[in-house]
Amino acid sequence: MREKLWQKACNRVRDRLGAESSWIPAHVLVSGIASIVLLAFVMRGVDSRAGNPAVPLVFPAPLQEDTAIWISVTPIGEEVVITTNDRQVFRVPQQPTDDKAYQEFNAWLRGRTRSEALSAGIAGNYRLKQTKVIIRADQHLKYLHVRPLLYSLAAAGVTRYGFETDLSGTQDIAANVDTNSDPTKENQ
Amino acid sequence: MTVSTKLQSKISRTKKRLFEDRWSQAAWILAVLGLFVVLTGSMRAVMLSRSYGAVSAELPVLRVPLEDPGRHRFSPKFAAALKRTTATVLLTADAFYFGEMKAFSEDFGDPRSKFIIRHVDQEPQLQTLVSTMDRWFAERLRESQIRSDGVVVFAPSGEIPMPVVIQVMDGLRASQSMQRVVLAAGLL
Repeated sequence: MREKLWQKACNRVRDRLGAESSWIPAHVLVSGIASIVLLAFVMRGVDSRAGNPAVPLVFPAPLQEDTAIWISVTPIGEEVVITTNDRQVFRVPQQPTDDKAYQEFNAWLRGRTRSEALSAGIAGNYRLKQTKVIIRADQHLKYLHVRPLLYSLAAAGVTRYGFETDLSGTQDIAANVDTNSDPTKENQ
Repeated sequence: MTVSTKLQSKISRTKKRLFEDRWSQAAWILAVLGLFVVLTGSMRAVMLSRSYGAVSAELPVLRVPLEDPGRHRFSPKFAAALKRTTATVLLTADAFYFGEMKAFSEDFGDPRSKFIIRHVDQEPQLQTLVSTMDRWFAERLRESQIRSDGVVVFAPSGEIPMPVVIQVMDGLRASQSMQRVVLAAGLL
């Protein structure tokens, strides 16, 4: 009996699918594995300091855990660029002539300190590092560039702050971790 | 056979050999592994952060009595206060100056109320400053019964680079009598 056309097509497909093949979906495997590897890194979180242009001083200082408010200050051209840990960027002149230069930054800082204080109040748990500001000052900065920043910290009600240092390559790394150190207890 | 003919025949034999299945599969696998190594290394460099320390400082606050009508009856405890006798250190391009705070305010014209430690080859003599200040604290305690409250006001001039400011702040804290550093401005 003559086979019909559709029967012939089905037989061909069956034979093709039934035959052993050494082909593997290499492209799919490579892209899938690469995606998993990249995702595994990204899931850990992106380093807030990645790509930051400020080069801090390499100096042994007490190890510092990440605080809620971290800002980086670096001179670029005629400006001082302030970058925050939530990716806000503020550009101010190197020698500001009035308070308006820091107006936006002051508003941001006030908002951040208030939100940290509010979240600590709601949680009923306050840790000193929540309102401690860490400043990553570039090595090329002079004190006169950082001074207006300190005025901004004072205006926002920040009482504790610190200057970040890079501990890479320093042998004498202090064992103390400054997390909840209470300044009132330091002098007792 | 000429040299060029021999070379061409060698090239074509090498091409045929490399295009055999076993070589192409090995090349594929090596290329994929190399890609993963490069991706992993670069992602690790970007995602993983180095260790950082911080040199801490404080901003003084005004003493404002808080009324707490709640059950907790919280009242803030003040560990130290800035007084006329608080130790003050000035840093200029030429020297360290130190004394009591009144020596740089109401007694500014009196040269006997402040001390100077000149830089050597433009290098601040921090160790000398700390040891001299420790002796001064001991003498002051013996003669005038004025005890150090652990606070030092540090006022660098504007042209001092930030790395120097940070290192001096950390160096001052090496003394037991100067555990809390307050960065000042406006004097110079």
